[in-house]
Amino acid sequence: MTVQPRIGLEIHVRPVTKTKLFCTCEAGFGGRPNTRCCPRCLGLPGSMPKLNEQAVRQAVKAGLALGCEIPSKSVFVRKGYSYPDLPKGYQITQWEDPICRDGRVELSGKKIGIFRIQLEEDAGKMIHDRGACTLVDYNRCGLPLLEIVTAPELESPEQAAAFVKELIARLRKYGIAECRMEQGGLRMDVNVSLNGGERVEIKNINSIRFMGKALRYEIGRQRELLEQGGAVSYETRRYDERQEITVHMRSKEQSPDYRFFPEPDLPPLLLSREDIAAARRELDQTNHG
Amino acid sequence: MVGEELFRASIGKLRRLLDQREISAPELAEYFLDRMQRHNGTLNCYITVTEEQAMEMARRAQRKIDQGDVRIWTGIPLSVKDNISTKGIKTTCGSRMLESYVPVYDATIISKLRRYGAVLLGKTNMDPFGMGNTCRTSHFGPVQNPVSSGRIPGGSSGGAAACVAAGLCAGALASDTGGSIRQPAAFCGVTGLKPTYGTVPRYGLIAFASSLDQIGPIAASAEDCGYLLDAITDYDPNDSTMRQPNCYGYTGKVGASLKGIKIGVPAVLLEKAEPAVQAAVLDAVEFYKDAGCECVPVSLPGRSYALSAYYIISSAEAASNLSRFDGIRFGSRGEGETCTEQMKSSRGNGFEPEVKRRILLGNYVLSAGYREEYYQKATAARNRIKAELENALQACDFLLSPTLPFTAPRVGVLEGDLIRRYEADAYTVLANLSGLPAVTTPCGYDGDGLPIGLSLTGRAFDEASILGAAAAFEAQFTRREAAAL
Ligand SMILES: [Zn+2]
Repeated sequence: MTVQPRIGLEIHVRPVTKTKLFCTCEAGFGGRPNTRCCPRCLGLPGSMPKLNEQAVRQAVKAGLALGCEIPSKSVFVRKGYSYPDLPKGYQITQWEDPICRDGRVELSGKKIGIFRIQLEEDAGKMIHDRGACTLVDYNRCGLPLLEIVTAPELESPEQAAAFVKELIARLRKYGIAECRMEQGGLRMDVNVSLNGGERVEIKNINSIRFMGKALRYEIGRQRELLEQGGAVSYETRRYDERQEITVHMRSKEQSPDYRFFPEPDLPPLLLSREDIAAARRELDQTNHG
Repeated sequence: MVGEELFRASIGKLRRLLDQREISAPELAEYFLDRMQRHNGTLNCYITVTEEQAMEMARRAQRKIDQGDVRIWTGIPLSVKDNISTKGIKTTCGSRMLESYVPVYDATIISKLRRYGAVLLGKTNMDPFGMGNTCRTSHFGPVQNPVSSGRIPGGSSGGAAACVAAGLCAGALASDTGGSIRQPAAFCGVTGLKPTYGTVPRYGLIAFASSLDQIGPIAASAEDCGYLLDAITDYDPNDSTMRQPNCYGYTGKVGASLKGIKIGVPAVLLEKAEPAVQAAVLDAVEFYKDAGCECVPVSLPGRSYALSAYYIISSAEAASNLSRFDGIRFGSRGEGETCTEQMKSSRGNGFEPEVKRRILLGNYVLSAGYREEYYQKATAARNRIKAELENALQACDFLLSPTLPFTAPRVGVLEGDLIRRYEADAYTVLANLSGLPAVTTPCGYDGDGLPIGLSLTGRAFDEASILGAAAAFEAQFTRREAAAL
């Protein structure tokens, strides 16, 4: 049975910035746990986010580098979910009005659409291997992330890998992101459907190699299902790196309700033509330099 | 010397006494701390009395006075609502959830007050997280109304209003999300101001509903409220919702002529009020007419949506703001096998019933499939109300109405009567939904001697005009002493 896969990617990269997204804590990696924290990134009661302009600039540059439109107004929202690595009980992210939208990247003659790029904050890190208790390190909490969402227009695991490589090359060339996978600087969720059927999402893949393996496994699994006369239904799976398989996480009914609403502590982000032109100049300079 | 009457003195008068060395800042602080010792047991308006810090701040204030480095509030003893973060001083929000929470940083307004030598006497009692209008639901016990011991003080800033009415501080800083400054100020017979949204930095105010919350003063007079607003307004880059940098001089129109001013009177707010309230407010209208103002009726058809819009929006934001209180980093951690079980029991035990009700409502109106039906409609209603009020204020300088449709209810009445509580909120939420400034000042007394609040709602960032107009009324109005002391 020949199948036609459709693959879409949600790629999280950490833009290069001096400080975190909503506070002035240093945007570093590693180090002693909980040494780069403040009332804001710890979500202490009464603290309020203050948007990092350098992160905004990097997001705009990423948009321009990927052929996106940059709307004059974008909105931050709260995405509610309860987990100890998220100190406020919600993540500040973007939703219906992202900072960049409708881009395209050419990949050996084929145009791959970019739905949107959104600017959001990272969560902390849970540490489970220290005896009876689980520990949380908030050093990573509040670091900026760019979530780049493609259209489901990639047709094979190889093409998906080539796309991610092209993306990394552009982001590095323009100094937007270093994409260091060993530091969690590039994380991917992929979705795949066969022959126009329901799509399956695979969460939290942290290298191109694993992405290829996960996709090949998942395409094989779905094909087998179809061959046996079964149907693929929407679900979220995760990649098990050790067994090299994808594993069921949750069905549509089990997917969390994020209760989105506009972040009342941040007015809409307004970008003037001058702001965008300045980002473009920066991009051109890095290009020639 | 100046003796027993100090608690009746205005901030301006205290300033003169301090500057002329008739009293020292430590003496003044001791005087108020002593009054607190005598009366707080009955009134319960303070959750925490910061005696040592207050005396230290007073000594520092005195050094500033001696050096001539003086602002209007240097050495003035003030109280702070217990939802405003104070470094090293417990900040409980009146809730069991935060009963032992000690902030590691100062709210912006506290840093500013400290910098210029204000004296902070303590943290005032409130309904948990600012949710409630009785001030009888605090984890730290109910507050008594100093006007009449059988009456509620109103909420949520009941502690702040009561300590001003009883003379247990020279002025109070509180917060107002749907009337939390103005309701207790009206029930306790003092002056309270909710400033325009974006006037006072909120950084460090423990959020209830971020798009509605605003810090403001409660004091003995409109002029004192103006001085206190000067003290806490400052451009703060930490609060991205601030709109008005460095606007000083809120007392600039105290004593100015009212001639030619146009006042809008929303008929619906008058009609729904109790007869005694109506009569007192109509007397106030007469006062303004005699002073040369023109009074015209105003209609506010969008008002009928105000209460629903308020409860939907404020609960949605509250549910989100309070989701961080899960017992992992705040509050006493509950029992449970799993992380989720622990969070459930921490929240179940830590939050008071009204807080839980709002969290449930808030999560419901934001959930998938209901957001459009509730949250988005509420936002549309809010925009309509805002447009209506702003439109009315293009033609009028300010709007005049009763602050509340009735006077302070007996203890126990409002607590069990949700509808009556909402009737009260329906008056005050208009200023929060629209972001406009509103001041309340006593304008009469009902048959039981309970104070009646007059409310003036002004144009955005024009606090000076409503404070000036309120001060003009106060100048000819005889206030009664708080009788329950
Ligand atoms: Zn930080």
